[in-house]
Amino acid sequence: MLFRKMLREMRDNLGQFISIFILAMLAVMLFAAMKASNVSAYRRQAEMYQLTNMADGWIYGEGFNEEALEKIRNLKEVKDAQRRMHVTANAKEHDQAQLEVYLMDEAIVSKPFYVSGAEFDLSKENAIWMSESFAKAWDLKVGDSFTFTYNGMEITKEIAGLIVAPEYQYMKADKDLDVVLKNICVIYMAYREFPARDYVKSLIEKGDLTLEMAAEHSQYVREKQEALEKFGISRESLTKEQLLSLVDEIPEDKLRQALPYVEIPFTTDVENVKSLEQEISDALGGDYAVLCDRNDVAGIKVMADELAQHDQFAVTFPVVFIAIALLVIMTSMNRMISQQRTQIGTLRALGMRRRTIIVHYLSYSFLVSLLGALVGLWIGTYLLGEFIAQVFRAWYFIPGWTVEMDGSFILVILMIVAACTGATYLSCRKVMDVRPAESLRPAPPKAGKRILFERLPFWNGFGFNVQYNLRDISRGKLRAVMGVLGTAAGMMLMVAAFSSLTTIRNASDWTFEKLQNFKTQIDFDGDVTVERAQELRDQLGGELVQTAAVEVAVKKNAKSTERKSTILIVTEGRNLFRLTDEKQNLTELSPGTIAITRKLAEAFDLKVGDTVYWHLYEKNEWYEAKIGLINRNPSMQGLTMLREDYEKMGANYLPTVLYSGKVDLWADLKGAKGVLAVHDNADLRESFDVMMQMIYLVLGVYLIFAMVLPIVVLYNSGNLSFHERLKEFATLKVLGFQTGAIRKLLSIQNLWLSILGVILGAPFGTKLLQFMFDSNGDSMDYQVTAGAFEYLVSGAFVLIISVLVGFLFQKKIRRLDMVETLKGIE
Amino acid sequence: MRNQEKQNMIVEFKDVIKKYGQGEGEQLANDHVSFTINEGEFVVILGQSGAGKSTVLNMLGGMDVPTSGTVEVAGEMVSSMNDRQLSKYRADMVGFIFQFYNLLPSLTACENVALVKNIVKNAKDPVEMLKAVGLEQHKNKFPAQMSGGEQQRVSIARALAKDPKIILGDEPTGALDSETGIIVLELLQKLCWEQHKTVILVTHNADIAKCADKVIRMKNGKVREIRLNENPASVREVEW
Repeated sequence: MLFRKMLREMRDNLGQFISIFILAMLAVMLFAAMKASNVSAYRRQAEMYQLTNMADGWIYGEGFNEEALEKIRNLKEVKDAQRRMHVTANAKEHDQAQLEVYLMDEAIVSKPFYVSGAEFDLSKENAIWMSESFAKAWDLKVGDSFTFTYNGMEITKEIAGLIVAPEYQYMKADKDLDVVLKNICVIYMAYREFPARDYVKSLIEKGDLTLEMAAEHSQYVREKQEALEKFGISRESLTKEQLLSLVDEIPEDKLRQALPYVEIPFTTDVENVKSLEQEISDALGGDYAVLCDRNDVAGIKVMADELAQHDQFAVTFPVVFIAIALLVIMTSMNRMISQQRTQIGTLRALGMRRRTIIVHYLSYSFLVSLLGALVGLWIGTYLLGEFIAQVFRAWYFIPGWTVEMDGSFILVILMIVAACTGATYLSCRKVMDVRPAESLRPAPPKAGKRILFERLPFWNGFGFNVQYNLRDISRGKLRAVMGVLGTAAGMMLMVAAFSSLTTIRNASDWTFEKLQNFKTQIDFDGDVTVERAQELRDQLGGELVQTAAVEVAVKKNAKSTERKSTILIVTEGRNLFRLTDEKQNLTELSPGTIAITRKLAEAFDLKVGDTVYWHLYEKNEWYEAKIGLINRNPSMQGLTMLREDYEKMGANYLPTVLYSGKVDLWADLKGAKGVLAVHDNADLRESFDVMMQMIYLVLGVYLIFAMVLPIVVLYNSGNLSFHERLKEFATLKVLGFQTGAIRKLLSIQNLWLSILGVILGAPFGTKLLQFMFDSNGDSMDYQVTAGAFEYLVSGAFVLIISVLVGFLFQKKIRRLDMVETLKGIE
Repeated sequence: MRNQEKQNMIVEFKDVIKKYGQGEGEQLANDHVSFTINEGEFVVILGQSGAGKSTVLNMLGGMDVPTSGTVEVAGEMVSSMNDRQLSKYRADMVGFIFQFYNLLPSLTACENVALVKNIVKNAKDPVEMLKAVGLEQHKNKFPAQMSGGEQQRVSIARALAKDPKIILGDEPTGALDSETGIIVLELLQKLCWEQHKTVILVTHNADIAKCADKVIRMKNGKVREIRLNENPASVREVEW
């Protein structure tokens, strides 16, 4: 019978139950939407790591022999290790796509994740395994032959299988600003499949390899050289042709020493991989450049940053939303129970047990909130979550990444249901504590009392509307707090959404109008020489720039944990690649000093005049430099120095890009020696804008919630206020108040609460946005900008919603049954 | 001979039927109710619970409309007014006094009376009105700080502040003890006799009828009797 009563009452109070249902649904939905794809990403990532025996650490150096590998393997903490060679090649027939080629003779650590074709097998001849994403983008199939170029040498192999590279969960070509699947690929192949003889010959042809250099690295060459010297042939007198014919006599395996293993990926159970540095350094006699952990590998780090950002979002936003939802649910349930007071009194008078009555009323909120939470779970996980996963799958590669749930989902649902049921219990208990005879009569309205506002000297100057509403707010503080917080959260999201547009526009102008003062960017390929680069610069005009991966520290040979991986930019100071200070004003770098970006300087607590130490990623030679400028760049952190200073230090200068003030150069430069790609600045800007679409997606969600929040909260606050004052409104109506006047009375309070919410929420909008941009990885340093316009538009938006919500009550007030409402009033 | 002093008809109920609900659940609250009331009359509508008297009062007050028949007040057809017109009618024409006072708990006595300034243009001074009901010294008290009788007098002051043509009371003494009830009734009778207001009270208390100019007795939704009192008693003369 009680169940029937519950169903009928739900039907009669449908609006109220629907609002609780919606709030419980929205709160869980928001959490699930952000979390479900993350749970799946972490699980599939862990699965991939297990299947591929993903490395925990990487040792990079100029060359590791078998002895070095053995020493690493023998370290107590190291489980598995192997050597790898890594070169960056390109595919001429495939739009000069960038290929990260890994050569190895064993597959123990960081194996490719198998997708289709043949299993990864290094004994298979003439075979390569390539990224599935690239093969799909170019419609390449298993069994097709594929040609790529390294150091001017063409290599053709058969595609044996398609894979995902666990170290490249995120990958983009150097020439691209964003992920373009057609432009980037990872290839795994057996070392012996690499044509070492042709490669060495090409090095000799280009003058990149002399006998002296070869002797430095190869015992075999040294022995040969000594033998030649016995015949009176000195290394200086050896001609290029003689050297080339000498190469023909050298066995293939010896030639491979010209292409040494530069990486040792290894696995370990030690959590802090860099704590092994001393042991590794001792084992290798200090002959290595860098020890990295997973945080230092770009293809893993970018993905990890992205997932960490989602984790933050999954907690931050739902927490705000859940808090407001709970406030709304609690106040609604409280009102409902108060309305049921006489019925509770009747049930008690009939002799029903206290527990039975409480359980009966708890079941209302329990069922509705549980149902809402479950629907929210389904929509959030399988519709929104899957949509988010789908969007991110276009940028990141984790096989099997979809949506999954974990224990936290149950926790959130329990929290919502428990809070909702708990609020009902508290309200119910309050009524149960009243004597049955008393609860048979409706509760007397809250007594009026003097309020703080009355002490204002101009209190008597307020009109009826103002005085009445101020007193009402004092009576319903929780309701008022809910209204203010709800609109504050809405305002915060709204400001964040609107100012993000300004911030991104600012970042775009900053990058493409201030920092990048060029019309065309010409990327050089790996074969370019300084001479060729300078020739192109003299021909086209412009500025050569070298970018290189470096490690920075505040002392020489700092421990890995005290270093940061970043980028070094070497400019010629010709004003085409420019620098801005922390306030985005254009500035110049003084010769003899180095510029460091703001975030990096903050990380090391560095200021102008301090000294910074750095080394190129692949070399173990440290340089020191005096900081002459703290600069700011929205999308790149690192060091900048002048070419003259770079060369003075004795470092090997090799430009990677030419910035030119000329336009439409692609037709002339297509196929030109040393040129990899040509981009118009306008195209770069377009790519940048496309990249920002991902942020727009998140902001779109913000905007929706920013609109939903004030509507739900203000409607609820208005609804509660309306029902609490129902008898008063009926009285006013009897006295002759027009419907519009009563609505105004109701709306004005909502409007005040909204104005307070707008004032309270406004400053947090930019904070939220800054947090969002900052959580996007270390390299981003967007300056959140919001002007009067953003605040005005957001504020106006919230206030319009507030006013419109007031109109929702117009009909209710018009239909208010005065006779029925005023019956039995006490 | 009070009845000879007044001539103008102010209320005409003509063949009014009021039904609630539909089908099997239909209830007939007023069944062909007809009566007239003249200006300045003190009228008591008498009847037991369920007699349909409150329904009559609600329709008179513009809070409800008849299912059929007409309700005319001061020449205006209340039964065919729309929501807006009804609000205006309630504001200008009627002062309502409830059994349970219906004061706004968050407003003081004075503010409750001053409320009508938001409704009518020429509202009377709230302090004067409170003075008229003998509550000047309680003007800054909230309803919860006053007795039932005091609250009812505030309610009367509020009704008077609009200077309405008709004062309607739904069991205005129903929640009061007899002494307080007498004070309230005296006040209402005084309004009628001295200020020539038309006062219409609904009650089940037959003693109150002794003070009325006209008694309309209702039973089962029908008017059973309309009786004119040639010499209505003053409230203090009646034995309560």
